[in-house]
Amino acid sequence: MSDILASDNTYTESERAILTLLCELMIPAGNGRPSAADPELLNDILPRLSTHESVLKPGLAILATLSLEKLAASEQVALIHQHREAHATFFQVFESQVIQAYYAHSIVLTSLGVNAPSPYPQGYDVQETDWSLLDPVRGREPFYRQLETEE
Amino acid sequence: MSNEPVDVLIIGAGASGAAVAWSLADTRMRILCLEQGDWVNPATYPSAGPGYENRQDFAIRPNDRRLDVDYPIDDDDSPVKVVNFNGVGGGTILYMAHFPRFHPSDFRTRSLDGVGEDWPIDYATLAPYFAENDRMMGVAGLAGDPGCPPKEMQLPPVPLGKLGERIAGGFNELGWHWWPSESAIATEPYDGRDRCLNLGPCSSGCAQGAKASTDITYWPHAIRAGVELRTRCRVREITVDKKGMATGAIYYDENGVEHEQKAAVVIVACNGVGTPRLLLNSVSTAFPDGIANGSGLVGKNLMLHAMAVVQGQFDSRIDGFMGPIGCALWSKEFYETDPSRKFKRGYTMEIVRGGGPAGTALNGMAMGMLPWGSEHHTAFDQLFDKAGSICAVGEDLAEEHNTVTLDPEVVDSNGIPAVKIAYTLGENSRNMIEHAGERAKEVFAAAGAVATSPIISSGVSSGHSMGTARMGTDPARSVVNEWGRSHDVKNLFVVDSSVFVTSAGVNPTSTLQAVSLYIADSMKKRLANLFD
Repeated sequence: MSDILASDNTYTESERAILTLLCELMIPAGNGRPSAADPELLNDILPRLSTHESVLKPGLAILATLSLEKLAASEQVALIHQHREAHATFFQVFESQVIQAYYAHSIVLTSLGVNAPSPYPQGYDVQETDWSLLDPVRGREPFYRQLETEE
Repeated sequence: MSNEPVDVLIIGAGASGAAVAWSLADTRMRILCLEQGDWVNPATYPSAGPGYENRQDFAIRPNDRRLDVDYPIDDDDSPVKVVNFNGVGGGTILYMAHFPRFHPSDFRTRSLDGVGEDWPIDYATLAPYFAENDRMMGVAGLAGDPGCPPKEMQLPPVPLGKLGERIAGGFNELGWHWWPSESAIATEPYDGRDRCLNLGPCSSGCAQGAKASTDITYWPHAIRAGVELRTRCRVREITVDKKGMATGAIYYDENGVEHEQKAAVVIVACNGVGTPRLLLNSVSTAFPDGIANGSGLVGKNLMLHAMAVVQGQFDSRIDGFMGPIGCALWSKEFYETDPSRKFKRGYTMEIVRGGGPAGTALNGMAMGMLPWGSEHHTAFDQLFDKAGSICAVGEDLAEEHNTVTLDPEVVDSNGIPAVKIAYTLGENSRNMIEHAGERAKEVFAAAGAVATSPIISSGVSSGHSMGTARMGTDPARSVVNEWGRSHDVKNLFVVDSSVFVTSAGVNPTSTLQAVSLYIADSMKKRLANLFD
């Protein structure tokens, strides 16, 4: 909870609104997985973004002038694409942090068949190997370079 | 903290330091090991908690971790980036536990192929120490590989998984050699360690304790045998007396307090970057260019391996995130020199399993394959759990201009000068990389991959640092003699991969530990006249 409060203190209400909109545009709900703007996901994403305040705040100020909220969804994505190159650092940091939080969340991991929140302690059952695959190699004579003194 | 004189001071508690400590323990000498890092609690490994793919404190590169126990490494002037870990277990904490041995020909490259130098020792000399090391670490594999000398395995092989079987099928289709990798992983309970659970990210530590890192293999045995291991002790320099003999070391404890530790014998075990750093930082009237540097070769001849990585994409899920990431199978098809190729020596092809969800997404976004918007999930599903890589580890020939030197401007958290790496891939390595990359693409095609990446050889990371204090019989051409003793300082030894004369085309841990055990045994056989 303390992390969420910290993030709330980092960004203003209007900045949080832009970040939420960007999350929705980047990863909307689909294929049985939630949107990055889902409150559960935002709880993990916003604290990560708060640690990159110095990089993100200037970009948010520019995005605020675009009035993204007044545009249709397709226009919003198009406008973001126009700005991705000009503000590469902002978008690299934003995308990296969103991905690291989104694809580490238990809801997302579970939907992908991955142990949540971590591989340990459950581990995975890897299928038994059919070692008859090796038959063509087993028939081969030793071919490493054997030296006279070491045979 | 007592700083009473000891018989043997070992600097570094990693792969080689642990092995030499354990081996020397049966002499009943008083042995102390100083390690700049901490013990690592397996419960804190990333794979035991949330966000396991992105823990910066377990990043493989020290420049990313930036922990107090790390030292800065300026590797901007190198296409291969340096990997290490500073703590009990050293690089074995983060290694993938791929555990091949050097081949017999790797010790005779000058005689056989006219490149590099011959080692002063050979495979046969090391064979009993390879076997002893395998027993201590516990090696999983399958006997009978026609690409390598015969050996015993302690444990059944790591399962190939769907990914490994697909790629093995590709090798079979081409009629090329492959074999299940030899892996320092407990596939069954072994020496107090439980069996591998196929967690996946071995390269950020094994929470299960199945991977053979030396904090849980050698060190418990060495400590029970009486060796003292002192952590958070960073050595600044090796001290010498007027006769040019080592007298011990000066180190800083966790609180930055300076100590002097006296010792009759000093053993350096800090890897191919840390060892030259310490030797070059140990300047005195007797050794103005650094201790043990009469040849001027300390820090030179750095070898990091020529590596070519190709990623293959399949059209169905292949359980790629399950199982030891770096251990499935290898191919020795192109290991030995073939005069018809544009390069001497050769390489091993090793399979690397796929990454987890976050790694897949980050990579996909960086490659422009993962869009924003409604297509995001479909694009992700086309990438996730459908990829694997072939990493070719190629022999890197020693060249004196590839160096580890002291950084005149950057220091670590104790004010000790850090290091700079200057390294270029030679023509032989570049030709080998091109050859290996093309062969990897052929394997993927034969295995039914739907796409392959370009050959990646720049920006790759390597924890395989070798050659910077090479062994030899000629004091003008080597730093230590054929059993690890400094030519210049008769009670100073080096036991890590710095002493390697060639790099071979395999991961170095098995061989560096065998060398360490061999040097320890050589010391034990000469105890009565060790300094003669």
